[in-house]
Amino acid sequence: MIHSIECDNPSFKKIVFKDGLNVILAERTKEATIKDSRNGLGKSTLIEIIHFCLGADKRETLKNPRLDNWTFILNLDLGGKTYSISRNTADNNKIIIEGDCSDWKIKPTIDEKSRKQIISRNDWKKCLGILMFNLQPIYDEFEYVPTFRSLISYFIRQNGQRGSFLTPFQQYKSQREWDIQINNAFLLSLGWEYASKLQVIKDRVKFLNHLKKEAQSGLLANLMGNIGELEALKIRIEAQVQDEDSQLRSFKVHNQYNQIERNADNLTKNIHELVNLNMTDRMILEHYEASLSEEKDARTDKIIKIYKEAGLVFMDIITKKIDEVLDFHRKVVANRKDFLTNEMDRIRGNISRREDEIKKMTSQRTELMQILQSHGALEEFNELQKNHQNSVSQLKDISIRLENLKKFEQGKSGISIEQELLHQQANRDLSEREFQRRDAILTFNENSEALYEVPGTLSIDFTKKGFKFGINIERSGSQGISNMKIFCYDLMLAKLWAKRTKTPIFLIHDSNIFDGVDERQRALALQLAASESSKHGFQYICTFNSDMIPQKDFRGDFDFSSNVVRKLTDATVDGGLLGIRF
Amino acid sequence: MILPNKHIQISNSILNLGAILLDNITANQTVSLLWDKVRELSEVRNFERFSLGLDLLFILGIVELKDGIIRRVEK
Repeated sequence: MIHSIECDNPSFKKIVFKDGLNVILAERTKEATIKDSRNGLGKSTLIEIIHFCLGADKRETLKNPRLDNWTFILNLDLGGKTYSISRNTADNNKIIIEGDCSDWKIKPTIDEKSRKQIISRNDWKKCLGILMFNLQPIYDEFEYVPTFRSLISYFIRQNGQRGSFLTPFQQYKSQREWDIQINNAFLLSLGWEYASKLQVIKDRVKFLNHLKKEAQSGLLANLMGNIGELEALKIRIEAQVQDEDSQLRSFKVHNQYNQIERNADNLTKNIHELVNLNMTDRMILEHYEASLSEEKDARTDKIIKIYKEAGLVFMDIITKKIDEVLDFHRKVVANRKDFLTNEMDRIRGNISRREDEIKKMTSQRTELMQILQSHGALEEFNELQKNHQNSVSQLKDISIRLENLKKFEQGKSGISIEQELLHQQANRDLSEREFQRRDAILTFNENSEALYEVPGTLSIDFTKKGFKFGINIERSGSQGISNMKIFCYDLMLAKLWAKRTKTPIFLIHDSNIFDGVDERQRALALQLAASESSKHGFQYICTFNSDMIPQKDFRGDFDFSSNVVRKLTDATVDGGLLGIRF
Repeated sequence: MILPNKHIQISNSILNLGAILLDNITANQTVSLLWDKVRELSEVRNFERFSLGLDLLFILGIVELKDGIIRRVEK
């Protein structure tokens, strides 16, 4: 229960609360222009301040520099004792607590200067969780747990802009599905642990799907990449890597590889030239040999005969003696023979010299070829190495993908078993909690019946996706009805928790919740809140616009004005909660 | 043999051969060079006839062999 809220700044309008219904009334005056609308009166700010004192971040209004270094003080009951909580907008990680904290599980420290009890914002949230909702530290072993900040936001819904009035189960627009499930299940005394476990499984599914996506993207996108295909590819590339590896190991680099290659080429060219020359020479030699055997010498008697005949024919001119003629003849023949044999010797010499040269060059070339065979060029080596590195990284990539894919397949089958098991356990648990479920459903029914004379239905199921909550009130449709569903749900939570904790619970509604609601239902809702809160011992605090009061529809014995604890007005500059305008 | 007669045609006569050889003897030729030059001619036929042709030219004092070179005798 909240006793009062005040501030160290004197312009702030202190509000003192009482048991049961409390109304903060925002009054519109004729003088007020559209700009000075009631929104500036501090209805939303009041809710923001309460949240701030209960460990929330500074939101819209409190961030304003005009409110810098203001200290707000919340006086409230926690666990049967009264405390005064102070939190400064500037020094907002230090929360000052006045009151007996001796039995707190997390104790505040004593500030040396001020001798006051101080607690950090995080510890404060933990303390509040324990004191108000009995949140146990043992919950920490769960990855997803109900938190004080999320739970309290169902009892103090923030203004409409954050989406607090979208559905009963959601207290802000972008609230995560698991957060909704776990906190509502906790508030309804259901097995929130199952929702927590389910979320862990969902995370794993997400992770596994990510693995699968990874395994199938990138380098091998064209390959569908099922396990079989990847295994086959892996084996192929492994063999390739081994092959390249042994090639690289036996590879000998020769620095002058290219030079040697050129030399060997030159040798080959030279050898070919020499062979061609010898071929030609051999043909000439053959020709000379043939000449030598064919060219028969004339017999001496033929020469004598021709000499005699010449003597007869050319008597006068014969000056040569027969011996001279024979001598000439011998010389001619000898010259010819000498020439032939000399030539043949020369050619034979050339041929054998060339053959020697060919032999030498051939053996040189053989040596070079051996080097070329056993060695490689540096460039070739580098190329080979580059290919090898490529293959190795490809192999690594495939191995990782394969591993991921295997993890995915194994994980997938494991998860579906776990999911099924969890589903069964959660449903068994839910049926064991029949009493809690009925209690919630019946309470909700009563609330909706009080407003609309028809029982609404609150449905609670545990499906494959976790807790599924639903609310239905016949005649649903208008914005008014959907707001009243939230009203009925919140009122039910307040009733349930009033029974459950030592800390008197409070329920705070912004006037937004009555927007679009028929006068009759507005009146019924306020009366219901008044009667239920006093009957069950919780506090109901709401802000209300003066022109929205359904005066005609109140029951005769209901005195609305006696429940107004503070009036805020725009008639004067200092008529709002903060006492200043900006 | 030298001159053509009833049995020997002009083309077969040594005299004719000598004329053809003389035609081919230019400056600075060896016996082999001259032989290679004329051996394909039908009148020459073989080395025996070639040498007999040269013999005739020598008998007549037309050619001489000096230092391996066969040449015309300058008058």
